[in-house]
Amino acid sequence: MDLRTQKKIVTVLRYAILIPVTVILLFPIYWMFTTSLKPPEEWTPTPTNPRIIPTRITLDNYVFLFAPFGVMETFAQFRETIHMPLANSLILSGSATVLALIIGTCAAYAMSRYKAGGEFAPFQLLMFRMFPPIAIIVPIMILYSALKWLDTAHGMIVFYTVVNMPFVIWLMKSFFDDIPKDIDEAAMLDGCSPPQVFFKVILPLVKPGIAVTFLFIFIMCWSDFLGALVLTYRYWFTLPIALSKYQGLFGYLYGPMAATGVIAAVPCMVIGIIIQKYLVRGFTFGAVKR
Amino acid sequence: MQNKPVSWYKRPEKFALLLIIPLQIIMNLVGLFPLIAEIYVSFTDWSPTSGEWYLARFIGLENYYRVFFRDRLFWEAIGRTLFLTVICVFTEFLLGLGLALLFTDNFFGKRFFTSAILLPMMVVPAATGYMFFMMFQKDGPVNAILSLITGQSIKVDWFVHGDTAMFTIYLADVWQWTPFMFLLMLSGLLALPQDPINAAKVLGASRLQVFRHVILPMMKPLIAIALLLRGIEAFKMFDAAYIMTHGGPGTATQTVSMYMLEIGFRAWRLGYVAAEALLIVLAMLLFAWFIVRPIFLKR
Amino acid sequence: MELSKGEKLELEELTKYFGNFCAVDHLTLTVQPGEFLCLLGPSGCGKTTTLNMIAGLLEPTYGRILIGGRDVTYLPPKERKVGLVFQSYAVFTHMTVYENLAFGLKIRKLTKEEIDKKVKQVAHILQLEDVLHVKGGNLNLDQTQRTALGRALIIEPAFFLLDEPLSNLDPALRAVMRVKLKQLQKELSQTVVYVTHDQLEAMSMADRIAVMNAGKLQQIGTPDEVYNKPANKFVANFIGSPTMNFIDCSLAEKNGHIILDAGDFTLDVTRFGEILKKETCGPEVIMGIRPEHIQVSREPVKNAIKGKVALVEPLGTETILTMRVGGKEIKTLLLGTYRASIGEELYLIPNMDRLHIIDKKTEKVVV
Repeated sequence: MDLRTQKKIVTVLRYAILIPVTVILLFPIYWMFTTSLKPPEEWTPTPTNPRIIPTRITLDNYVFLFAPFGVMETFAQFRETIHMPLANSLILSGSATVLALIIGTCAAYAMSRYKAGGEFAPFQLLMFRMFPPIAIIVPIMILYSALKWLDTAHGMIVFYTVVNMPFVIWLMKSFFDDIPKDIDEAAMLDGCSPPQVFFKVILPLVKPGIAVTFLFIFIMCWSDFLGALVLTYRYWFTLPIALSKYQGLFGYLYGPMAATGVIAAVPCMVIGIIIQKYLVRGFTFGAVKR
Repeated sequence: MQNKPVSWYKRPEKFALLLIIPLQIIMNLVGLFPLIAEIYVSFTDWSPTSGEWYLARFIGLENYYRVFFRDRLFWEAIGRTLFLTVICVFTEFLLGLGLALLFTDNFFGKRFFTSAILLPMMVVPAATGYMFFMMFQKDGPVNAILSLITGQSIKVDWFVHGDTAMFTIYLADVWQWTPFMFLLMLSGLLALPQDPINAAKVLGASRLQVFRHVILPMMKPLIAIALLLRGIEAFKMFDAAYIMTHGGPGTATQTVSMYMLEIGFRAWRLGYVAAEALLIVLAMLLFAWFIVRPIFLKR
Repeated sequence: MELSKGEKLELEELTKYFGNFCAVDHLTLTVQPGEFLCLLGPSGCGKTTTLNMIAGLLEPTYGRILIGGRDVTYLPPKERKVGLVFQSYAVFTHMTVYENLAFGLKIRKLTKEEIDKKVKQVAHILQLEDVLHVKGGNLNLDQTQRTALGRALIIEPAFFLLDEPLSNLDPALRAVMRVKLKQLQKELSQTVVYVTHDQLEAMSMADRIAVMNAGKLQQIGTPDEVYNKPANKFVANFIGSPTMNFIDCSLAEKNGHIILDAGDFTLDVTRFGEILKKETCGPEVIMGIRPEHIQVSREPVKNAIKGKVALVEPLGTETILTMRVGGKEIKTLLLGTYRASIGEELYLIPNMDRLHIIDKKTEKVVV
């Protein structure tokens, strides 16, 4: 068989595999999206119609989440809205990310240039990730209950900061490592003090790295489930927790359920698409670079 | 920014120290102290309902003894979690590598397909659990589609039977994390030196032979890292599974994390949980020391 | 070992486009069996692309490739039996030397005994016997190279393609390997297509040289031909070190003589009158003369060019003098050590038998 037919076969095979796979992969997301836009009659499939494609689209489900009203209110004792968890997620993720970024970037620079913390510091941080969160949560819980930090903003922010530190350091260190040390030395020869080298010379160079790390850690904070589950209960629970909490409350209200899911998932999806290029670096702690 | 005294000019190391101090403070405070407290608590039978932790009754190694010899559920959870980890990671690896192999050349729509395949990974795991929970309801789309395909009315109650519940968890994990493997494998494939591959082709190897004899061996280190990373994360499996089954029916899908949550925060036996947690930490440490470290040192 | 003799390779109008970029443009040439042909050209001229097409790694946009008369243009590499050696050697690092050599045979499903016999033969020819069980990643450069050669050799290819195999070596080793490779080729009477950007390599090793630039074949001929009878300015410039001197001139007729007028000096070129009249499109030409073909004298001589020494480069066996003539620079290569001081006035005597006149439209006219 010659090269030309070989190429054609490969092309056919490729699309034959990719298209079904993509459909299967995207189906759950698609379904959740469309269900969140469906009116109540269409929420569940009937024997004759799997209702994969909605016939009517409405934003009622979303509105419902923000202010329960009308017919649906009589279906469920649903008194809570989505304002609180949404705001909480935003506030907590945002602040923790910023804080972790500040502390972590400084530390990462020190590790990158001066091997601060020892040769194995990066490896030690990896070990941190190895422990099941539940094992870490217990002592934190003990500490927090003593400090009366449970269900507080500062408690959660500190928690998220600490937990994501390894990621920040790994990511930022890999970005710093990408910049040759010659630049540091050139700057110092030009008369800069070490702090100036860091703040005025190197930091601007890693700006894209900082942006990527910010988005990545934001996703990590936003996705946290166990932490918020244990450490919050009434005032500061986040969107993922809301999902779990409202499971029972919603009962069979698939529409609003789907809408909640969409709200919880969309920000991270969008961010994820944006930082696609850096995902490999992030997930492998900078060990593998593309 | 503060003014630094002149001495900083002469001692860059001091600056480095300054940079790293905030990190050390936070890590030690929030990491070290609780750890010590936990170790202490593991030797007690503390329950928050019975008072402050430092006042709890000291019972020595009894917690540990109980974990090892009396706690059938714990070991079941461990076995279950290990089993899930293995089959999930393995499936994700095969699928990820298979898909990655299709992406080494350029083709029409490549960017679209890449983004599409990566999408599941970017859904918050809790939301994934939520999604799959809705989909596998008795009157949900999965049953509907199955009915459509087979022509009969299929109304499997996925979450009521232990096996099917495990299956849904398996599906959710594979759905969520195959893109991760795909990403890693693809970056590995693209980083491979092309010359040996071309050399093999010119020597007459078919695509399959090139894959088996040249590509695969060269990918071994990356595959090891990928399996390791994903395996570690998979063992901690919690978010999606919790939302989907809460460990049910009964304890059929209870992973280690769920089990410990159950004991610790439903039964409030924190002393006991502390012991379990420490055991797991110890196991992880051993694993890291004897298996992970050699891999890292080899690089 | 009974190696089949090399076969004939023909390229017909071979063309490759990458999008709108033409990497190889209607390349046509023939390599005779047992011939050592060099594909010479600067980086990016399309030689590696050509090589990849011959090997079957790349599909041509247009044209044909024939091996021993068979049209192999669209056949997969397996059917072509080509031995390819990369610049990086690309030895399989996770396999031992034995396995590397055996690879091609294992693919072709030879029996274990047959494989063993052939591997041992090739190992003997290339003196790889003592490293047969060393892993590819642990070999030194020399052994790696021989392994790469052996791997290609063992499948008894119709011919060899070598892609700059010596550019990784230091100059001393390179000189040694040049001789060895050429000897090996003659011993085994293989056809070899050797790609390089080093004209010295090409000149010393090739039976014929094919000079390429920007995807187009500039000239094909023996080393002597491309050196003494370059077809165009590019070839004239590329071959030879130091490079040929080029001076813009115009042709004029004066008193029945044809004069080459460079502004700062003139030369009588009446003897070339016929050809000049026929081949040139206009009076604008470029004069080309190699540094080694210019003599130097302290006394004024007929048809000499006066110049001032700008730079002296003593190379031990030779000396390069850069002379300033008016606004232009002319280099001359002299044997031995020639002592001259900067600013000194000397007379350059070009060897009129070796003079080249090039039409501004890059053409060659006279030797």
